[in-house]
Amino acid sequence: MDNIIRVDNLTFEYPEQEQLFKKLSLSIERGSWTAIIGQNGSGKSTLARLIDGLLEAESGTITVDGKVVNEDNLDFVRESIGMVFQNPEDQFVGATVEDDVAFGLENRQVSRPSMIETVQKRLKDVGMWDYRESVPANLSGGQKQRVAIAGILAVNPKILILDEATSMLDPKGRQDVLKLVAELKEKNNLTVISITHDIDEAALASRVLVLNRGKLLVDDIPSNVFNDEEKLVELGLDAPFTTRLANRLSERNVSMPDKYSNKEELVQWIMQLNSKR
Amino acid sequence: MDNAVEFKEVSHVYQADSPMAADALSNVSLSIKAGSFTAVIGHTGSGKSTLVQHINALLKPTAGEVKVLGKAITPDTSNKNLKSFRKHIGMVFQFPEKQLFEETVLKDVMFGPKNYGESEQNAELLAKEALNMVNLPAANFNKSPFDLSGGQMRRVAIAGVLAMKPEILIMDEPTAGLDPRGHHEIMNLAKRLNAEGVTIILVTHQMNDVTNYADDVLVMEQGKLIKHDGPRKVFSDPTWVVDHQLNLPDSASFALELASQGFNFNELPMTIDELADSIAGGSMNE
Repeated sequence: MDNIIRVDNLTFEYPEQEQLFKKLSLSIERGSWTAIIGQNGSGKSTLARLIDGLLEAESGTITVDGKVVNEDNLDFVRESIGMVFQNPEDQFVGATVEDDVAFGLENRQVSRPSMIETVQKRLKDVGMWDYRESVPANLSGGQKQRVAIAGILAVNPKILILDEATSMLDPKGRQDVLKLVAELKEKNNLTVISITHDIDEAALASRVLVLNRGKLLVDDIPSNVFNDEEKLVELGLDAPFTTRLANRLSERNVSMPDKYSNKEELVQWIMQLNSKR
Repeated sequence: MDNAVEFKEVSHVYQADSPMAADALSNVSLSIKAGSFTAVIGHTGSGKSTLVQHINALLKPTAGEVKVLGKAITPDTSNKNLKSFRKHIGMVFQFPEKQLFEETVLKDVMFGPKNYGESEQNAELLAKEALNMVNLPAANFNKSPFDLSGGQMRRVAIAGVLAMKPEILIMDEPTAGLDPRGHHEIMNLAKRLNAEGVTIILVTHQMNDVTNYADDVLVMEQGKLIKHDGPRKVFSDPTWVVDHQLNLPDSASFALELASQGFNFNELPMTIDELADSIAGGSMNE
């Protein structure tokens, strides 16, 4: 298996706090979409920052696309990973939308013609080309995140990490951003890691990791993780709507499938029961 | 007193040509009953925040009259009179933890009561009571608020508002960015306060919270109040809801999915239990 990220025996703690990670190991396959879920304080964002070299591990190694994350390889690691943070306000540097997208390219001394071409392409990719001359402050939250993603894609990362990137958006903004990420992943063969406590966002992944106080408690496919309402609630999370509905129907003596169903599957199941009554 | 809040033909125009102009209110008349749990919903930029900022006099109307707890604010009200006005109206802003500033949790929560003239001793009592209400363990009282987790910081900020014993509590997306447990804690706190008689005004994008907690709904669009009704009535016309770029609660949207395949509902279910009852009834009977 081709693992683009490997974490081996990672140990880390913040000053004057309990140890967060104690010999944590995991790997992420190239081209996959992985959701990392867990409560506030579970270590999700810290893990992302360690992988990106924004924080330094106490012991253990992290490898990104074949290179160990350390001071010597920091440029390589940062080129490989694009991070989208929770608050779009915190990541704007340009006076206009197109300046902002060009920023990363200017830093890399890309020639002007190629810069203009890339900015145009990426703003079109995220559906924000019409807003190229707008001031970022005047955009909605979802639009800001789309511009932030354009800026990240402009420098061609292999890995996209969404760190609660949709948690401040209204429902429509959230849907727009997630749909965009799914499209871009296919087009650019990206590896996506989404750190979230939104269970519907996690449902888009092919693999779900549950972190709790720095420990990897669950590593499974979404349908297995989502079917256990009791466990999710115990971990401070919510089960998806369909799981909660299926459990409430079971309580009312309606027979339910014993595995996780998405919305379409559950609708079909109920209609079949209804036709047989 | 019956109404906690009354708006009479209230308009608010921000300075002309400013980029905020779209957020203004135009000719809004409404009343909010004392003791109600009122949700304010609408698309981003619809005027929800502008509306609630008139209720605690952060903004004065540029036309019309706002009456809160019997006191009137008009465009001519002098700013000097607004402080006493605000005392009984608590406002929890979006991301309220950004406003924490004191050295310790306790001092931060005491700031409000002291600012309104309570003695050190009384302020401490009020602060401790408020921190208990938000379920923050006493072990944290003397910590720096900045050493707490995001969810705990949020609760400290809310305690700072509760320590003033507001009669009206306005919450502007109080659970944005919180994990599900944090979300339930804050919503249950609002429910508890409401049961104790506090009028709750909740600005939210989460329609499940509207049907689970609110008994009255204001729908804003482009600065206008386009609907004011109970949650069941507001969501009973799905076409109207979608036309106004709003979402349905999960239960209603799932029920519509079933209905489109021929399942009969007497009434569109608004909560997961109502939905489960309808399905169990439909498939078990006959």
